[in-house]
Amino acid sequence: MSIVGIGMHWGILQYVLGLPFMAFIAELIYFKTKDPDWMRIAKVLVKGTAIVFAVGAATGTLVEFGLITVWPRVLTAVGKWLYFPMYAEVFAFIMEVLVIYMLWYGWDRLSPKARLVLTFFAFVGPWYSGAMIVGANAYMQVPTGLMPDYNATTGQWLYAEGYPKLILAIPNNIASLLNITTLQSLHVQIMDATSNAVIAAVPITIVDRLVYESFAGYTLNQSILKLVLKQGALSDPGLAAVPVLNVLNSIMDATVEHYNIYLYLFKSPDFAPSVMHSIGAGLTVSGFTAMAGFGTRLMKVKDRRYKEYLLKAFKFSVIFSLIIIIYQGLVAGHEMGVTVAHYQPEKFAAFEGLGVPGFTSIAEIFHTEPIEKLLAYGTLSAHLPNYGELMKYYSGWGNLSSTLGVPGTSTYLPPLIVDYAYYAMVILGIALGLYALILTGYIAAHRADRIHKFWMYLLVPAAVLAQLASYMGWAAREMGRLPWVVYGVMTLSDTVTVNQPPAWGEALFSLFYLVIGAALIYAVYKFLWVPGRREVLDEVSY
Amino acid sequence: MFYSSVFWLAFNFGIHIVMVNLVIGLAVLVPLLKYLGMKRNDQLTVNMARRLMKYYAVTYGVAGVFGTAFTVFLFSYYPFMTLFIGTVNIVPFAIAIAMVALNFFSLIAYWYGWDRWSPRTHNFIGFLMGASALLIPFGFRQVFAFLNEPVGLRFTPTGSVTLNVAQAYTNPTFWPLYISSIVGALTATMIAIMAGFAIAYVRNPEAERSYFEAAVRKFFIPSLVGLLLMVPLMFSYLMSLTGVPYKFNNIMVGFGVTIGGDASYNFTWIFVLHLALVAIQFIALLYIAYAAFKGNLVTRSTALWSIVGGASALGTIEAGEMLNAFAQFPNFIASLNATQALSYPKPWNVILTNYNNLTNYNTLAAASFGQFFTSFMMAVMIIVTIAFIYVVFFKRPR
Repeated sequence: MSIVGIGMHWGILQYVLGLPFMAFIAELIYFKTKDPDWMRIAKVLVKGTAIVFAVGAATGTLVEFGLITVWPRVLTAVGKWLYFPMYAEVFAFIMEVLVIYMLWYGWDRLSPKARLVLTFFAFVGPWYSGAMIVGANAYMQVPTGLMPDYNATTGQWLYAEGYPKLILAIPNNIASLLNITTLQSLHVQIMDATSNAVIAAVPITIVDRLVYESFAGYTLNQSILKLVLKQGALSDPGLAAVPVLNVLNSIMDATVEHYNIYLYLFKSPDFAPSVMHSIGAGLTVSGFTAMAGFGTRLMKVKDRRYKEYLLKAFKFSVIFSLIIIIYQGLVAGHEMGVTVAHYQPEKFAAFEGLGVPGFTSIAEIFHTEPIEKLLAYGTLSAHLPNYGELMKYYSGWGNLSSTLGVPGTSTYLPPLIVDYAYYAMVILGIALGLYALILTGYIAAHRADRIHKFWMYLLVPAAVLAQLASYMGWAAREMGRLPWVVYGVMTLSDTVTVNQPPAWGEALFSLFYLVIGAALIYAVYKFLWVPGRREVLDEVSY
Repeated sequence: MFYSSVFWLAFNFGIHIVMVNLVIGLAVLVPLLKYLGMKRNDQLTVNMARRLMKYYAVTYGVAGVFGTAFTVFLFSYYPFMTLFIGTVNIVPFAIAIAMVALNFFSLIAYWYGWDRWSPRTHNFIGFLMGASALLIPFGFRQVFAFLNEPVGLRFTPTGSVTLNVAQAYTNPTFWPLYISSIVGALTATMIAIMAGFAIAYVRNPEAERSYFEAAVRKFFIPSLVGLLLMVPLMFSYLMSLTGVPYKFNNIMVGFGVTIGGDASYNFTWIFVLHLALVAIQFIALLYIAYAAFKGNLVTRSTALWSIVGGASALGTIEAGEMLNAFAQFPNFIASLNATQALSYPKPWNVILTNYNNLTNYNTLAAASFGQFFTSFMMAVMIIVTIAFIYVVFFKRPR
């Protein structure tokens, strides 16, 4: 249900990230050239934004309620410790709602300069909003303070030393009750101390266990913490009855304050590349879709003036798409990949799918290992994480200590399907880049109005494939994190509601989302595509 | 004592709920007006519906904005109670969500499709718009009723928690709350519509006279009936709260009426304010009736009394909702005390014992810069909202 809901929202909101930015550029060109066609292009793009945004906002609200009802523990954690980006996001959302509709409904009442200012905020709002939401997702991928578990220089997994670990601030009043020797035997590293807390790198198996116990209502005398408390500490009945939730709250509050309440989430190494890559995806999808819309209409247009206008719009969207897809692949995508390789080696191993008996990965078919090494680690002597090797560790990993008899996470293997999802994204991205390059070649040769029909017929499939590439990237990102919801902190089983909706309820809601998607397509057709058939240029006020 | 968490929740909810009442009322009245106008070949009524539709769309947007802000404040300040309420009330929330989405899509289809759909299709979409609006509170008011008294709450032996939905809808506070919400929303909207056209008439008597007159002729009697119905409905809800003495006492203590113990707070003054605002609406409507009887229905003074009535109607909603919310302060679930909470299985005993309390907020969310940021951004938001309303409704085309 969440895959359908969030997937639908993601598919739609990409246009909200891209279309107003394209409109802003078109308006800038208008100011440079004083050619009213550019204002017409901007108006169409803003109209598209207004239609799509309405559906995006509706699906976003549904997603929000979905989080409250289906993933209440995740939302609790986000609200408690990552609240600031969510605060900031709500204002961004409000800016989007008000500015986009003020721009659209007030279009004929505003001067071109006022439109330009509003269009600026119409794309800044969604970018700002997207950055906050993606920031929360980035933390779920790589929580702030994560120490990864793979050494690419030696090719060694570091599970035996307790990695991956999370750097936490343990308040002094809690730390004073703990037995340091026992903690060290469990691979907890004391790293530093502040005036009110001890800074320690804690294996995520312990962190995950504490989170589980907190939400399951454990008290200290029932918790794994009793194993690391100083002798006799639990003889105090008041202490023995303290909920683990209170302990976790204290540790996480201190940790958030240690990193800075407002910057905690933004210090995740995954934040910047994720934001760059997500906005890039929105711009790419928007560019290729606009290209398909203007180009397809161009193929059938009869009116000369209307054709001139469409030709400008088409050339603009082709060049825009080419620039953006180069950025998306070579800059944003590269940074994203490097971050995954360093901080999420299990996901990277699943991307590559190497060494798995009975499974042929894309990397093995195309022998891309040297390129991957160079791109991910900057050297050919590095070792790619090997999924087959990884499988050996999971029978034992996750148990804190077999002698202590403490259950932990029993398995952590991302599904191998992410290998196909990841490479589908890469291959589609390269193909789309080449396609945009070919079309740009026609434009450079002043033959934009004589592009071979073969290429023109590919416009709509290219727009669909741009969406598909984005979905594949999204699927690889999300499924590659499994079984974690928040890496090292919460697994799927820790987070999903204990009050599961029935299968028919899930099916009904999924169907509801699909109907919403169909309604959006129809609305775009009816209110954006059909009016353009008249081949009448909109009046533009100056 | 001042709690920023409570202030921000009340601030956003206060704006949201007034807008939501207008949304419910307009969602029903706009398609009804359009249908009747078409059926009677009355272009003025159709035009009236179209003008109101634009207000409906904007009201929906503002309601959504503040509703989203409210949700974010709720889970930021009170993450653990959000966990509990979200886990238990999955079905009422699902009903509300589905209806919010349906209402939104029918709104878009109805607005953009005006004169583009066939009349029958357009009317059907209008029906969906009204029906979905009436059913949104069928979900949300159940959550409110649950927060009065957790009827239908079930714990399983495995520590899971669930809601017996059928039983939950037998909550004694639900039906009085739901029905008075619907009647209140329709009544307030009709009075607000008269006030809206009255403002237009005062600003431009020549052009707006016929609209103001039509609005009064159409909505005077239904709104008077609605207002008369609201009196017993209001007291019916109050009587249902006798099963929640904590809340009842906080409302009635100023009149010297309490059940089974003392009140913790005295919010009777809000109740008195609420009643006074209802009385002002009656006076406004009676003045308009008197003027009509004298043959002076459309005058500046009837317009001014309409405006007073409209403002009072919105104020009545605000006062009623604030009374309902604050009367259970500081409890999230009004009837739940610490002894009951401790008797629940873990982890809910831990969560409810600690967090069924609005004064136990997330201190990280109340940090000083966060408060400054929230205040600053809220101010920006209000300015942009005003600019939005100005550009869309008042700025003339170039």
